[in-house]
Amino acid sequence: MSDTKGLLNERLIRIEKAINLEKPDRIPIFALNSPEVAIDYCGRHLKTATWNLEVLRESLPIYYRDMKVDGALSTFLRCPGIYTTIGSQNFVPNKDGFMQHPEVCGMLESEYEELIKDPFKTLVEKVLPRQYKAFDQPGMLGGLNLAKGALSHQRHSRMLREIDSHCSATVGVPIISENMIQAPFDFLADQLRSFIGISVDMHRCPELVEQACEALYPLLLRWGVTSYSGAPKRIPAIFMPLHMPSFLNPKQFERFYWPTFSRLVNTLTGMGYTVALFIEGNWSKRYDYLASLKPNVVGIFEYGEMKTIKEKLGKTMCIMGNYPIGALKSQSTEACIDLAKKMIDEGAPGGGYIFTTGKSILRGTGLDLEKLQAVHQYVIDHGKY
Amino acid sequence: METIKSEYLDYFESYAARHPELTQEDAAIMADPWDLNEDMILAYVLSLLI
Repeated sequence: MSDTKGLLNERLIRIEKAINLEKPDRIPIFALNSPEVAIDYCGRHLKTATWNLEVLRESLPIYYRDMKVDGALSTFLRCPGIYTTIGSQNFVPNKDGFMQHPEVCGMLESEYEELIKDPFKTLVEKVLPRQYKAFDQPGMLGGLNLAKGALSHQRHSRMLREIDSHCSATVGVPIISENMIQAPFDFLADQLRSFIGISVDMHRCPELVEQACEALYPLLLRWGVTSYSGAPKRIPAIFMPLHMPSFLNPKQFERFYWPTFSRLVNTLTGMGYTVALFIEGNWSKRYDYLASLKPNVVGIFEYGEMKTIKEKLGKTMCIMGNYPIGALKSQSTEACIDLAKKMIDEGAPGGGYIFTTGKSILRGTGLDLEKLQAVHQYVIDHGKY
Repeated sequence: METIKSEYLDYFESYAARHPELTQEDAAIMADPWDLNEDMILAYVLSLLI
């Protein structure tokens, strides 16, 4: 077995044990970052890289190798080419090619009934043409643009998966999430009704919001399952970022978010998948909800006290995240290492713990990545069980 | 798994409704490729909105 293949296997076993709530040989280190940071780290131009994925193919393994990580998310890069050619208004590039997501509304309040009756048809008929102006062209042109977009999306996805394989083959980094889905409420809020729209809807038409989440649920479940190749297995996990809960009050969370979200997670884990939740915001008042989810869940926490998270959830959920990336900008290397020490002292005992940052590192500018390297080296040296 | 009922999906089902000569065996042969395509279309549409 080659050294790289041996390293890949060693890392997979390390991560698999942590996900199974066991003690691996040492604490695994996970790269929670978007691929743009690797391009910055290698001194390449983002705008060029987003049009020429060969630049990303060269940069990403270097970043993973230098950061000494044991695993990563599948590469997810929004390329301007894909979005601008179909007239996107929901994802637009800034000056250097980084994609921004403005507040957009793709569905009117008056269209709830249609969404509930036939969600897929409403997404195609109403939402897509608003979010992607090229689909709204008269005659055959709209259809042609839809086909163009689908073909370029397919090609782009294939290239990103090839980059994942390249990272595994060259630097022995396993990819531990294969696809991404959303909770029905987040899907409804993010690009259908918008942050402002959904906030109003919960007061004006609460029953329709509930029914819309129920209507979207089968689509998201099916997408989660069918975009995962092969039979269900523990790794790679299905990645699910949770956007809205920290903006909901307890009653709203319980009524609108939790029912379809928990059913989606429990159904997927019940089928044999692992679901990796990126728990955005502070969920400290909702740990009891998370504790009631069935096993086979990984929780990547943005905020919260690691000690409390471990106490409340460590028996049922593999714990990740929580390391404050702001420290890499403003604190000394020693202080950054001290923070890591505290975190692993609280999170690692008993296993079921993977070290990573609380936020996804988006860019190489502004943060001192040498400090992240020093932190990771500390975890490698002192994280043995 | 729950099926998705949509006027814009379930192509085989709606085709079969207009062609009663098709049998269950035909459905078993033809439904899979259509389901596969529909799942790809579903994935594309949802991926544009996430």
